[in-house]
Amino acid sequence: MTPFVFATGRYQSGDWDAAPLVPANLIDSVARYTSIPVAPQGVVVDLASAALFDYPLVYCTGHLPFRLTAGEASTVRRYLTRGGMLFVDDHNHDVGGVFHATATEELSRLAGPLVDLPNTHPLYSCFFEFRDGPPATSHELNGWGDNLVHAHLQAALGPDGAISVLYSSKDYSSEWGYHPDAKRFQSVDNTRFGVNIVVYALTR
Amino acid sequence: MVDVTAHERATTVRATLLAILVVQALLWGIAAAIVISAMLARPLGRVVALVVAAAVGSAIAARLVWRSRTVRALDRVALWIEEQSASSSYVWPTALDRRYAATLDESLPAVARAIAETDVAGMLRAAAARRLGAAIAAAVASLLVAWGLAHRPPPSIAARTAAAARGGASAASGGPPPSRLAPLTIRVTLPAYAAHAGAPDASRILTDPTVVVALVGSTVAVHGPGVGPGVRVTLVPRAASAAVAPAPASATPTDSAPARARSHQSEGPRAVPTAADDDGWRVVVAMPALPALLRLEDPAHERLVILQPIADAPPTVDLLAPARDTVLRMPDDGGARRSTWPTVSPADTMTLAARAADDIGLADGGFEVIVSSGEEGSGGVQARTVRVGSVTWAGSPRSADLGARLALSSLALAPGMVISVRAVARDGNTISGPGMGTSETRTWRVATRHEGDSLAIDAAPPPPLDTGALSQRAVVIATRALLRRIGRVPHPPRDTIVRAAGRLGDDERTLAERIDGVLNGPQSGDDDDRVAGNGSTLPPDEHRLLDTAAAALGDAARSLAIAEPAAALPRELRALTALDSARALVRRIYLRGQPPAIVIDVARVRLTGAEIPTSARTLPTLASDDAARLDRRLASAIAAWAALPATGPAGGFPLRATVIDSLTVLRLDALTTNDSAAAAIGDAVGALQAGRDAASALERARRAVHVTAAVDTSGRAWAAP
Repeated sequence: MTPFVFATGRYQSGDWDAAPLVPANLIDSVARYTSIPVAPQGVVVDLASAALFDYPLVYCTGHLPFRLTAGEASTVRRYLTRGGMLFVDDHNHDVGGVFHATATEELSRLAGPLVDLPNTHPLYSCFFEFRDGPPATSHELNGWGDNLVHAHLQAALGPDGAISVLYSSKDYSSEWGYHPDAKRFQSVDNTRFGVNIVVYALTR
Repeated sequence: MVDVTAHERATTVRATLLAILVVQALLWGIAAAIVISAMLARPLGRVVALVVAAAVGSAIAARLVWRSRTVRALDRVALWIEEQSASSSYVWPTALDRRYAATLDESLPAVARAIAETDVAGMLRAAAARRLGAAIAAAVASLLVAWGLAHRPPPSIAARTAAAARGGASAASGGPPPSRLAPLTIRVTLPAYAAHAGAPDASRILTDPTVVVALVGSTVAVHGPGVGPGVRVTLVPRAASAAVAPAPASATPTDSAPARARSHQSEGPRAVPTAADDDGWRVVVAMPALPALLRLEDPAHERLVILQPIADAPPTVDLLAPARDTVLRMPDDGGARRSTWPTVSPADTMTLAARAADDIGLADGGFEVIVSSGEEGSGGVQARTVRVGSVTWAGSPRSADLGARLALSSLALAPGMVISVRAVARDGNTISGPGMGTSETRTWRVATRHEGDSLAIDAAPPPPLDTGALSQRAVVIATRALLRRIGRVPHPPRDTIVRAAGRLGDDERTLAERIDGVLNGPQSGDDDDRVAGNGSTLPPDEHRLLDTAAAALGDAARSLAIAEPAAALPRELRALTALDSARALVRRIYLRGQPPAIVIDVARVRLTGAEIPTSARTLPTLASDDAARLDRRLASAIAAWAALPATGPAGGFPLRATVIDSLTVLRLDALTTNDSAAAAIGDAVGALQAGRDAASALERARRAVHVTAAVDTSGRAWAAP
């Protein structure tokens, strides 16, 4: 079986590499909790590249404007139509920030309107159970950014109801941006939801 | 000419009649032989049935021919012709009389004319049609009967269903011979290790069960009525590895069960030898590790019994002491001054305590202490195992406590040593065990020389404006919510509004003070030089905007303090706009080095996570082959059940018995893959055997199977361009 490869999307605008530790951390969690074959190292893939189609899940983040070139938009649109899943996380954790404004606009244009994902969605129960929906991040609880604890994630749904674009304003990129070895200092592993995202992307 | 003609015609009629009678006799004999052969083929065997059928058929044919022997005489033929002709007046016997034969035309011209006008051919055709038609019909009917008998279900099924329908009565008179498979008496005896004094139902007797549920290795002794050879018993394993050798009938249950349960030689169905008993026959098998089918066959009957094993669970062990992992320090390692770790002294002991439990009975237990030292990079790791507190329990208790004290001096502790402790308990399973249970492992580590446990944690002051206070945007949201609440209630309670607005006013005042601190420096005179603003360092534009924000915040706080949130809201928004504008002017600089290239050692971390998935709902998954097959077979059985005529308990006989057998085998297959479906199918079998409606049970079975077999085809498949 071909192992799952965690892919980080690279786009021309903004700082696509704002959370370089997240891929390794999630790869580590997928290996820790599941028997899914997983590549030990992630890859970086250009959103305009046809290599995008090699990966079922692509993670994008950043602080700065998220604007896609024509080539990126075309490839991403085809990628989503053919069953790919894009996970976009606002590293600012700020609904008034530039990343949020630009990313939601771009993604709505590509994949349809972003709607609040109900907290009973299978995403929250496909591996670990999150009864209250998306887990809050320390940034939210500390009142940073927009000083809101976002109750829902947003998503663009495909014609069959499956998520094609998952958008987060919760700044998981900060929450999961640490070396995997530091998990031992946590009483509860906060990357569990990342495992759910990977499992959902592979089984939806 | 007439006399000659009359004689010749009579002779021809005789020959034809003889042929008709012989063919008729043969047809009847063949018909009888066919029916008898079909009836006796199954109970007596094909060859014997053919011989008997031929004999009976020949006898019938011979008897019929013998009955018609009088047709050889011409006068009888003449009388037969007279009987067939209503207009004749004894003309044929007269014509064949030797006294008139020579001069018939002259002496008896009327007779001669009557003879000439007789339609003998028509009479023969009618006789042939009458006699041969009936015989041919009988032969065809016998062929149909034989075909039906050859394609009927085994007579045992019919007899069993009829017996069930009539409360165990034997088959109707004229049916198959009485079954030696009913009533069945099954004695289930627990294996010796489980049959201790505290175990309930060490031996129990079941009457006519369809399922025998018992511990693995239990002795299952089946007893049936009737004597003589012919009863065959076959053990059909559910899975190839589940085969269990049968016990000789002479063996006693307790001494033979272990050996039988261990013997997994055969992979397919195996015959189990039967033995004659005082009042019947007897067969003994050991309960296999996996479900199996016991097929019992009498020459005229058949019966299925499911053997459903219960597995013996290994003991569970909880380590109560030591309660947690610990680091010790040797007294002379030079690090005691820097450490809070306890220092071990030669007189110290480690108290060990554990609690063990088992579903059947415990046999022995104790503690395993692994003492290891050294490192991989410097000469390797040496380890030795010490067992302490070993105890053997008498009477196979279901729970017991373990306890011991371990003198640390006996371990010759040295810096760097690791003491790993776990409790172990074994059950008394002599069939497939013993099952062993272990507790979690606790570790006491002896610190290395000069190893310290200090961890400096300096509490840092929170940065300004980032201390968790409500932001201005949140205050605006809360004020709007308060206004909505006021608008919804015709006469809102003033105290409530005053309190809510007052809290918001406090928040606004706090924010104003913080902005003032940014503009003019901290008021409390602390020594925090890292505060961002001390008035002189801010650019003029930012300073102006923050000044505007602080003023607006003050105005909003005053409005809120007098419970006028509507008046406060525009001021709050003005403050928010000023704050956002000021923030937009701030230049953010991200200083980040090259991100580290982290390669996860997947094999090392694989499934080491401490969190346990607790998902109650999972995504639909592809059905396994087993589940899909079970679904198809159950659908087929339900279709057969639905086609049964509803004519009472024995309705649909023997199709009902076929459905029962199908469901019984299906239940066996479901036992290892789908417990819910197996239970529902068992209910359906019980309902059918009792003549009740099985619809509800079958519906439950279908749902249980369908949950497993459901395939979500709506999901999009991953596809490359």
